Amino acid sequence: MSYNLVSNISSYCVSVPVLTYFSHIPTAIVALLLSSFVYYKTRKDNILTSKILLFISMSFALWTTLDLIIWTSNDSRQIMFAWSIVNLIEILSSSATLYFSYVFLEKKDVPLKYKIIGGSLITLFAIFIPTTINLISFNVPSCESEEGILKYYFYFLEILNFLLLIFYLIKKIIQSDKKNRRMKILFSIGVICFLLSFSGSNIIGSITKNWEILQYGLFGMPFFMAFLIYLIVEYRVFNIKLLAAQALVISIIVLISSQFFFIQTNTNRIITGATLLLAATFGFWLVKSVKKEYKQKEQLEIANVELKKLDKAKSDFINIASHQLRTPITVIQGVASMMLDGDMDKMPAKERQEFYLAVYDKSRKLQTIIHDILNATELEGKEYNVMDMKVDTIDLQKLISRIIQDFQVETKKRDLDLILLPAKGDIPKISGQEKYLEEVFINLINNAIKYTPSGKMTNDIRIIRKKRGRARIEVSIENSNNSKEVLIKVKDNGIGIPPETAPNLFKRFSRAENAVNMYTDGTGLGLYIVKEIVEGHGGKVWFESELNKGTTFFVNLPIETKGLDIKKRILRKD
Amino acid sequence: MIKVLLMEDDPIQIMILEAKMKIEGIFCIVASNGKEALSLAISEKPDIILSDILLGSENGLDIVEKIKKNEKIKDIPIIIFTNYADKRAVARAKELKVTEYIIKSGVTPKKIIEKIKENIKEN
Repeated sequence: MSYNLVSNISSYCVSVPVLTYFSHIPTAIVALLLSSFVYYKTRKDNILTSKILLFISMSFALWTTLDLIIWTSNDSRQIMFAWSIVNLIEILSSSATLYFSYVFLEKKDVPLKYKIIGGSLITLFAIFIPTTINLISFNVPSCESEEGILKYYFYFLEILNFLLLIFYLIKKIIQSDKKNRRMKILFSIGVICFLLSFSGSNIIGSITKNWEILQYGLFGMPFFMAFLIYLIVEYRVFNIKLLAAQALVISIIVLISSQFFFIQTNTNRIITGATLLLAATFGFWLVKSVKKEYKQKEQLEIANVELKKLDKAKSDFINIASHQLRTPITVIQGVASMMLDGDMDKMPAKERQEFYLAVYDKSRKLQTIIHDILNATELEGKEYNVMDMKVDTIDLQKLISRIIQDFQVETKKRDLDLILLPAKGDIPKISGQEKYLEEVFINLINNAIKYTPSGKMTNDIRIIRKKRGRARIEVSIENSNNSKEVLIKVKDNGIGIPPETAPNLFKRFSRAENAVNMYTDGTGLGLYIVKEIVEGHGGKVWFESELNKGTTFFVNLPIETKGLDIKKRILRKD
Repeated sequence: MIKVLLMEDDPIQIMILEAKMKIEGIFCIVASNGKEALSLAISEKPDIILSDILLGSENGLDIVEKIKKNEKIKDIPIIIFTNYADKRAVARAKELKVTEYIIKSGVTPKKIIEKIKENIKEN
């Protein structure tokens, strides 16, 4: 016996066109492979559509096997058995297609009552399969079955499925908005062609007795299946390109391999073998490169999302910062223009004095805002790390007491106490950048002042103050047990920090998130600057706060500055 | 005498605008929150309303929306007078059909008085 499947089988049974094998075996294999592949890839997501698709392709594969038996076998019992159940499989496939369309377009499962109705109609069909209502007899000369009246019920079910599908799809297309219409039309074409190529050609074959037509319809199967898969994945977070490449490679390999069933000569076998080897090699390379590209794309997408977030935060920040910059300008400009218009001369001296004071205050505020923005930009531009810079030897006690001294005018005006408590332990000099550390304590004390209103402000606050005592800010420096670190505390009895804003407090632009509902003098950069500088010194900053009771900020600084440790720097760069 | 309702919460800016309006012979009423603004708009029937957007914890545009929905005061012309120039805020102001959206730092007190007079004349 020579190795040729077609001629071997042909010799056993009725003459069968070679096309039959080619239309049945590879198409079923490709369809099965494609749907199993999608099922495998989406198994974690538990996507119902890919499960139904797998079912459709499995029933299609079963159908082709049965059909192949009908075509090729010369055993009447085999033919009768295959023939009796082939229509049931077809009904199952077309019903599954209807089911598939519903789930795909509605994005939910079919309601139970429809499942019961559909299931009963199919069960009714299945009950009569072993009876003569289905198949009457076997026609020996033509090697075919004589079909009974059940075939009319089969036509009815097939046409019902088809009409339901068409009506449903038209309804969905009409209802859809412009954006989804294209997808729905494409989907409908795909599904209808799928059904037409499969059941349509079978029904035509059954009616016209021209079974040859069925062969061509089957070729459509893998293509429409691929098309449907494309639609499933295109509208999901799933990489179509990779899938398409993999599917293409698998299909090519299967199709080339299937040629071994038909080729007759050794030369052809060698050529086909070489082609298969080449296709497999290039296919592997193609899939690998697409995979690489996909990974890069995925990383880019993640980076893009992050960038967009940062971009939004920045534009929010710009809105609020420009508002903060414009406000003092408005006042300075307003007063100056009134001076030019001669309005000042029309005012009493005391009122005039208030105007000049306002200009002075607002220009100072402008100075602070610009300073903050420049500082934050500078800290952002390069990784701030004192290890990379020249360091000073700093007497923290001296530095902080000088800062507190500078604030005395401001605190007197606001009627609050700002005091430096006696040091706990012997405070050693630390190494670091004095200019930047000064910034840290100015920012923390400034915040404490801003959020610790005194009785002078309003009536409400006066009542609160009576209950909780005078507005007071205490700064303390500790070096307990002569450790290698110094702890600085800035404690106030102010308004406290709401727990919901606490997690974002040290983040850049964090205030900008809810900027529209929050009017404050600052830019929201102060604490970000504090954190960058303290961590740049290898230290830590944190806070404890109770709403309406007060806040304490803690700064822990190493005596010998270490700068950021390597691990932390890498983490921050990520 | 022209009557202006000023919705503003920065004491210094209130002081400047009040002084300028006094010199120009305009009667200025100040509201620093939404509740005050609504009740003053109804009781005082101002000729025009000048509203900031960042008003303490309130959004001035929410207050404008309330005014525009109130039959008694919905026809009073409103000028948004703010330093906050976010695109979304400008778009919302447009939707609320405010008369003008003026950036504070772009105009002097003299100019804003001219704008007030202009808008009252037109109505």
